[in-house]
Amino acid sequence: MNQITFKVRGNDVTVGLGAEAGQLQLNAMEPVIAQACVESLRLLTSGCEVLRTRCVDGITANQDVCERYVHNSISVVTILNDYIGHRAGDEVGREAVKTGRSVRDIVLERGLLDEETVDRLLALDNLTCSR
Amino acid sequence: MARTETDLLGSREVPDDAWYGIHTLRAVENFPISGILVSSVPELIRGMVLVKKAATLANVQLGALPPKVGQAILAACDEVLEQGRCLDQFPIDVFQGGAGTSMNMNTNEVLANLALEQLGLEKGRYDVVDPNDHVNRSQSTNDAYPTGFRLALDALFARLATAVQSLADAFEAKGTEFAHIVKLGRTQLQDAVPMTLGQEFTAFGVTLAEEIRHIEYARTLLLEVNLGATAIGTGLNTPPGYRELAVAHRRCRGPRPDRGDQRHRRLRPGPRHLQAPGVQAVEGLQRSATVVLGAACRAERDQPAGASGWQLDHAGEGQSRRPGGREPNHVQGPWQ
Repeated sequence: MNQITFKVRGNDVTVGLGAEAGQLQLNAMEPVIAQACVESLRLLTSGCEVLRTRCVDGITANQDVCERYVHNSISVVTILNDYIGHRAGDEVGREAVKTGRSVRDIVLERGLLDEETVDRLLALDNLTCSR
Repeated sequence: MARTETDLLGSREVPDDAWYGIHTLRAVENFPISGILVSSVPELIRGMVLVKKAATLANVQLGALPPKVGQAILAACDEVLEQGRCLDQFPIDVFQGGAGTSMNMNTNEVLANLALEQLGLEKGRYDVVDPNDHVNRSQSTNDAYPTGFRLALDALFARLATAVQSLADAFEAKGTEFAHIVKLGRTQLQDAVPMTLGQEFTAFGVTLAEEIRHIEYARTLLLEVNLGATAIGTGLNTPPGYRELAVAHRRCRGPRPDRGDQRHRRLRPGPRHLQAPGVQAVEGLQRSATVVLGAACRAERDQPAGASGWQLDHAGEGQSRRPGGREPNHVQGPWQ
């Protein structure tokens, strides 16, 4: 698909040059304009169909992997900043990076929030603002 | 077996089973450039034949063609359009000088010979149906060819719109399927805050679907044509009223599904003295579609290293041996 887009972008240059090169009452470059446009349209159409049938339709998700990355990421500290303050959030994040421990554990250990609040804030539907 | 045809430059032998004539023969010899023959682009042939049909209808209506000749040409056009006859009779290169003269003459000759067949006559009897005087009546290459290839592009854009919509729908379907799966967003090539995998796929679908509006707009530009303008835009050699009739008759292709403002679906006479109107805008819109597609594919490709947050279960052959995952070759493999 990427190759197709590169080719189409090149054809776009061709069309621009061809359109610009019209000579008074006749643009003699229309054959190459036509060839470039036809090629681009055919490539894009085929590309979309192949991408859909041989790629997108068959994609499956690894839910565990996705969620593990969320739980283990220090970026979740962002949602706690409104409750523990930005400075404390920075320090929690620094500790997480240094020790590899989870944000949740560090927040609880430092007594910044109670367990129920932390778990509520770090729940997946809260993290994605879909509650 | 061959027949002899004559033009200003002399006589040539044209194969008996060829539906084209001497001008096409000379064009094959003059333009051996890309090897891509017009016969491999049936949309171009259809576009040209639609022009000839519209022109002939207008000419017959205005008394500019003998009715019997006109009817024979119209029947010839329909044989090509509806039955696909003689689509292999366009051996000229798509690259050609003369601003499409060879394409125009190839079309004129094929239709003249098909019309002769309608009248029970052999090929080459141009004293009865002449490629120039009859099939090309009231036309010039400089209005027939630009109109013809714009019609071809319009048809191809319609197909692209369908393909883009289907792809957008496929992304949206994945958006629904993955709506409950949480993943990390990515910004600056780093972990960002969470989102759902469904939101990511839905975004691709929405962005792609927006391109369809641009495609439809491009089509309205393409349907603004200079048919009736003839050689330089003044309408020389056309009978009064021809221009409006010829453009209106382009609807003889058949009913088009009604979609929004019907006015935009019809051919409109374009500014006669401008060249390549709308085509550059058309290509620019293809460019924006490629930017969107390219971005979507890069996003799929650039998931966090080793994350394998999603995968293809039926990826094609020739996959890399990278452990832990399969490459979606149709996104990434084409990076040759």
